[in-house]
Amino acid sequence: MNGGRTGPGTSHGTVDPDDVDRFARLADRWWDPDGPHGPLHRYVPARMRVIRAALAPLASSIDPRRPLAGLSILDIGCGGGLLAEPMTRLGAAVTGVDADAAGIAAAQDHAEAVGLTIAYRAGAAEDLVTEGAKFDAVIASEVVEHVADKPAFCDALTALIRPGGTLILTTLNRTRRSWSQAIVAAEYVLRWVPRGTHDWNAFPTPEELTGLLQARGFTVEPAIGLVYDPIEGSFTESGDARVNYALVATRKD
Amino acid sequence: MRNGTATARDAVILGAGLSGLTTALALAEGGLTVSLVDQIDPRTAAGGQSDVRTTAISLSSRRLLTTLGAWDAVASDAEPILDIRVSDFESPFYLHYDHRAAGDEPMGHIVGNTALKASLLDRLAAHGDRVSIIAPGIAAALRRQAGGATLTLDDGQTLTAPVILGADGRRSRLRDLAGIRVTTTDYRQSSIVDTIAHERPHHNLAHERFLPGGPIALLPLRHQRSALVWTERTKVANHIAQLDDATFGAALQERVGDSLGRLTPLGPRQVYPLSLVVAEAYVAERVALVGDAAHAIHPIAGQGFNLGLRDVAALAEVLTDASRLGLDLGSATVLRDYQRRRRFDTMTLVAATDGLTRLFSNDIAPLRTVRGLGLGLVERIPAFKRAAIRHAMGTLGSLPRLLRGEPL
Repeated sequence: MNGGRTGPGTSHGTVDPDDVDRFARLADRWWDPDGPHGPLHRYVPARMRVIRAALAPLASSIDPRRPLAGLSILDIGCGGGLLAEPMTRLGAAVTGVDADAAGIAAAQDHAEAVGLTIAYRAGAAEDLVTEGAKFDAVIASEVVEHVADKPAFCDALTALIRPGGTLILTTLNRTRRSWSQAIVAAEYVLRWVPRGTHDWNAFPTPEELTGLLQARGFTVEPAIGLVYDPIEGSFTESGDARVNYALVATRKD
Repeated sequence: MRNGTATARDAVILGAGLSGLTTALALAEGGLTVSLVDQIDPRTAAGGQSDVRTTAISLSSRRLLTTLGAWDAVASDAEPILDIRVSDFESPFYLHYDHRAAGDEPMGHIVGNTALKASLLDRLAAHGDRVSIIAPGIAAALRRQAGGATLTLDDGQTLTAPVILGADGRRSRLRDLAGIRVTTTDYRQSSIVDTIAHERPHHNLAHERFLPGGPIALLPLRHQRSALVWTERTKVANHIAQLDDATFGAALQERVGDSLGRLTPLGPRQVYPLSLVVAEAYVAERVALVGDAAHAIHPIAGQGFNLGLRDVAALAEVLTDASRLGLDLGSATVLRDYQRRRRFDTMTLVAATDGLTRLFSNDIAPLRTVRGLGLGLVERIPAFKRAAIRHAMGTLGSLPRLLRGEPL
């Protein structure tokens, strides 16, 4: 699926109009700040601040509007492209990969509509490893908590980053607080995400991830806590990594 | 600055008055590119002497203008307000705001609109290609699509940007095109604006005197002059404005007393009808409003433009921060952030100003007593006074960077 669509009023034999509708609905849902992915929208600015701060030194761009110019970035689990698009605007050449083909189609659709060039593909990170692809930076945002075999996933991440390149992970910590906030509040009370989205037992602690990455030749910086402020409706960087956090790691040369 | 058709821009600003010019300058300072559209080229309008109005610039507004580099050029002609005296007719009490009660800086400055406009244009010119002025241009149609909005001008020219900003005043065309509704309150009052020379120095004291027909404000200008804003019922205002200078001066004298000595109007005299116009939303899809387009308030507290500059500061901060993170500048997430930051402030001030007008323009005996007592009470409670002064100075609450005097 390459996301190619026909507009209303045109005829194209190979495109099922139901598909078109479905993708349009999905694209709307991914990019509707009031839709099911609303919480992810609110989480974008904080995650982009972490990404920009970590990657701008790697790019050393002189254009203040394109601080990531010249970098190749792989966005694993890119979904509808909520991070891939801003990273592209900041000048990076972004490849987005996601196992959800419908999500990739929606992402492709949206990028085309807003005039951004992003290489989206449906599939797994492991496919790119097989192809021998290497990137200056790899982002896996809100992915690793859904991964069963974390050591194998870290092997794939390592293979995809060039020596000297940077890895950025954002995920949920396995604490009492994250259980009440991420599971009970987000899934059951606020209905932010469908019930059963998260398996608390699969949440990695910063220490566990740091250990896995250090064993694979990464220098790992202290975890950056990302705290939700319900009054402001936004996330802020903080020393409190008990619920959401980001890890920045550099692969040694 | 460039003329005519622009290439891709971060924002299109409709309206090149004080709010529009300041918005353009703030965004350019933040590294964004803008097209500024107006029916009249501000560069030609700025040279004329048609606008005799003055603006009271609060402390935080001055910080914003200083940070944007637009203050120095007007500073030499800006007269500081050190104290404000609020009085009510037939009441023995008056409220005296002393700037030393809230810190050592002047409470504000009185600046001529024409000088301020010229200074803003000067600074905009320094931004070269980042700012283009498209004039004359009248907005004819607005279309929203994924990733941007397209504004069509009446000559057929189209301008596309992620976000279109309405700084086009209380009768905002963009507001209509975006389908944002307004609530209007007509006060049936008009303000007469003039410049007054007086025999005795003003000692940088601003007077605001409440009378049955409306308030009279005398704001200190340079060279022993004051800016007059005299509000009356519209019929009366139109009549008074027609009086010859001697009669006008005498009528004014009768109302404000002799503390400034003999008053001589210097003209030109203009009349502005007053109404409260509040937009029901600050933002719509890919559209945001600033200044009078969002909220044109009664100038009773002299807060209109200062409120507008608070919009500018918040909007410039939100858009600049968003651009640094690669966000879509016109996305709902970004624009709602702007609305969230502004709405409370505006509603508070509009409610307070509207309430003040109704309270002070009402010639009913019991109300007069309450007013007299009210002013006397406020005068005696220092904490309340400090808060009131700081709100008038615009330094209360958490402020956007520009209002704190910090760069974007």
